[in-house]
Amino acid sequence: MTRLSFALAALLACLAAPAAAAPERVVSINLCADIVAADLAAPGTLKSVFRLGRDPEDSPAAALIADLPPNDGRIEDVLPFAPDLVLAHEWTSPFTLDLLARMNIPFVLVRDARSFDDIRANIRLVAAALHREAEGEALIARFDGEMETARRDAEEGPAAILYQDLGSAVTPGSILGRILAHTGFRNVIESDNPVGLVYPGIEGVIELRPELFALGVYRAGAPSQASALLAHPALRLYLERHAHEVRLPARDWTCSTRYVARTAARLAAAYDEMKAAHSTSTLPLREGQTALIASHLQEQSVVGGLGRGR
Amino acid sequence: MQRQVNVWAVNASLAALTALLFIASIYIGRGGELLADKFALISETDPDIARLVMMEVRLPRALLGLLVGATLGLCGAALQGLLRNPLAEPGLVGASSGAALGAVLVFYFGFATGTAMLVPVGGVLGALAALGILYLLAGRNPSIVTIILAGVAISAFCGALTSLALNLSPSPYAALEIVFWMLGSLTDRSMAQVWFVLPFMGIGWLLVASTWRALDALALGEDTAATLGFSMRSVTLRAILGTGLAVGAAVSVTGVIGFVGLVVPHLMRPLVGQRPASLLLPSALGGAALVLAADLVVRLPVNGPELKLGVVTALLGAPFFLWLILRARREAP
Repeated sequence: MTRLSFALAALLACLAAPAAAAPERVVSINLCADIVAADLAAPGTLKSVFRLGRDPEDSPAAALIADLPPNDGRIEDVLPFAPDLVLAHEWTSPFTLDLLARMNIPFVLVRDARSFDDIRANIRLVAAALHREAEGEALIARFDGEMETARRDAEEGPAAILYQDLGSAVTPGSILGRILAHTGFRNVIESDNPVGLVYPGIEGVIELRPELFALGVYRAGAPSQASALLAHPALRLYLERHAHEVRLPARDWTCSTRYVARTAARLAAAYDEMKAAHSTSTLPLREGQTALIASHLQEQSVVGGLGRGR
Repeated sequence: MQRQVNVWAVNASLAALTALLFIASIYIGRGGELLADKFALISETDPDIARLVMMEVRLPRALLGLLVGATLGLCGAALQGLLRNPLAEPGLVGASSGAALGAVLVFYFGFATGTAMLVPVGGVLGALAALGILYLLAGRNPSIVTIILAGVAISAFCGALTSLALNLSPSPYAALEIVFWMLGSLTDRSMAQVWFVLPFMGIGWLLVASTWRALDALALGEDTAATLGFSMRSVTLRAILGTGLAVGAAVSVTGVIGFVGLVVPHLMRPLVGQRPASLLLPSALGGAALVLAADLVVRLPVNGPELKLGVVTALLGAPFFLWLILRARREAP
């Protein structure tokens, strides 16, 4: 109900503004909105972005908006820019949105994307708000092209698990689950839930026998209980002997934006490596081969700026 | 004579209970799955890994439950004896939260690069610092109120600093990690952690246990203890140092597990009597049993993240404690 009234307020605010004028003072107060806007905004119109949007560890678009002043998403951070459009997220604090509505500042809420269509819809939404529809469609075409390149069709693809920090694995219905399927893998997690994550624990993961172990890594090398978990000896031995490993930097997928195509590309590359290794021999992979491929993949990820233990 | 038999019987049955829970802890997994099934299933993939799951997932978890529980029970009993205060426990006097703060500082701020051994050292130093401050604040003749107020203040302050440190760390999951450090968990630890804590705990236990005679004498009052030839200074130092070492090490690998040190000695008193010395061993065993039992409860939910251990120990411990209070009130004239 509240969400609906906010959407209505946003709509009214949009209608109230003269339809012809494209917004010239745009402020984004959310990482996910930053990333979409960075691609679409006309030069000079984006005045401030959320602080995480400029952090290359969090934002795939950091380089594009690194020079913009950061804000912390509070109303007081927004007002000095006298924005004629604020970009926020459906999860932005309702108090902040309420204040924006009361001050007649139009805002647009980027949605939490759980499918490729959601990603396209977010691009269209922001493009329309910025009066940059053509750029939006071009961006969608680019995204579709990249996703098509990463598509792998397999009758019975290799079993995979996408295991992230904090020991959670993605379900088929989450965006990462969809990317796994898109790139030809069979997700060993079959159940689904609204959060998109399950917690199988180390034993559970080993028991599911994934052939690909995709690790979602947030800030490689930063100490956390999560990274300590990934260093568990049982998990390490399983990885060494039985599974390929590919590391997926979280910045490409924490916000589901067009940059998930990079995650898809990494997974597609892993798929090709695994297929190639299988086709040279009908036997299961030997340890040496696995290690070779694993080290190759790791090399790739280092090139991709993802090295372990910065 | 009757009492002696009683104490030994209690100790033996507690040891048996602990052993039973230890075996159950290894044998029963997530959602009540049995080890044999899981072992067979994983062995199909790779027997080495099945062995590793046994040795590096199940065994360390049970061992840590045993060690940490025993530490909390033992130190709780010793502190209650030393301070002659029924509310003393490692958590209440600030040792646990001090240890969490020390471990967090080392773990998240990069001092741990090079040797991971520094994390328990940080925990131990944090616990010792908290206990040292408590000792300074409470003075030489501590009243119950002073100790409790000082302990609560130190705990709250260390807890706040831990949260602050995690908020400032680059970890995106700071809120969840704070919960780990504040509520404790044994999930997915490995033998590496067991080897970490063992020397610290061993020394800590010996130091604490070495005060047993003095604790009995202290029950008669400080002056009486002094006339019996016990040096208050040395006794206090050993008990506090031992608690700091053992609890600091425990907290640095499992986070803070509350309530065990407080409740277990109270549970044991009706069984073995009021003498602080005869309370030490049963409390250690009872603590181990309680933590192992709580850790079994924690792993019963099948989906979703496991419960935190501190939640369950408090859920189990608090009602017991209330019952004790009610009974004490009934018995009071």
